[in-house]
Amino acid sequence: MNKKLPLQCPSCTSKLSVTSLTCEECKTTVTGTYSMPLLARLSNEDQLFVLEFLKSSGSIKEMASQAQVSYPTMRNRLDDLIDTIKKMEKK
Amino acid sequence: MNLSLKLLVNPFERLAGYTSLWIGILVGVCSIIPAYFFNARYDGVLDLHFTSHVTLTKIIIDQLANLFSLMFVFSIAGLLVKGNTFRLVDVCGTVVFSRFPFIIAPFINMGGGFLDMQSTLIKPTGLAGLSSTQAMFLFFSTVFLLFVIVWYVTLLYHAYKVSTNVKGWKAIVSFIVAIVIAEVLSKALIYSI
Repeated sequence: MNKKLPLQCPSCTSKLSVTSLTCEECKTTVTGTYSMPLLARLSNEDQLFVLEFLKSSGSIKEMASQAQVSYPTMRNRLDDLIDTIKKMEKK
Repeated sequence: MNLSLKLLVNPFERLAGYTSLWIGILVGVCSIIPAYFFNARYDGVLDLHFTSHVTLTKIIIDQLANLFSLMFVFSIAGLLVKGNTFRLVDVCGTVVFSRFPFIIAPFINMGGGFLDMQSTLIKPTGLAGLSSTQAMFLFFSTVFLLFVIVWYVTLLYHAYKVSTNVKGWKAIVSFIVAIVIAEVLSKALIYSI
């Protein structure tokens, strides 16, 4: 099962931090409070968009043609993502 | 919303830029032909009127004034509301393409029936002067023209929204204001040339 990383507290909707990391080989566990990097706090859809953006060398035109949408539609998605990131940075 | 309905209402998610600009120019040229043969004038961005005689020059001036007004006002509205984040070619391409429903509208006056009905309506007898066939024609032509104008305005709204990325209530308010200004500007241009 592909588990989804929870980004918000289910109780109060505040952002979550990482408190435990485990080595997959020897099962050593490190505990502490680590804030999640900004990119990891994006939704799955937005993270996929960032990956696609990098893989196409930042060409919105190429992304639009691959997704079979118009250039402004893809450009609008990027603008929305930029707005989301700016809002997250302000918090 | 299924794909074919979405394409009718908002084709701009898939089609914009130069492609829609070239198709739109072709649409604009094609719409001149029925307008000329069925005596229709597009004398305003939201207008379609039938007259007893219309010249090719007038139709072309109408079309150019309407397109310029819409492109100019939408670009200014986009700049004011969203800032300089959109391409002018997307505004132009989507606006030109939005005029598509106006290709079919002049056909309502095929054989001069609409104009005859119009001249009967302005007589003192008004609605009472219409024959039963004319009354039926009035009903169907009103429904048809209403459909054309609603489709056209819906396309224009999506053209504005997709090309400038203005969203929510800002999109609705700025679109209404822009359409009213474009209508006034187009009328001023058409009747001053």
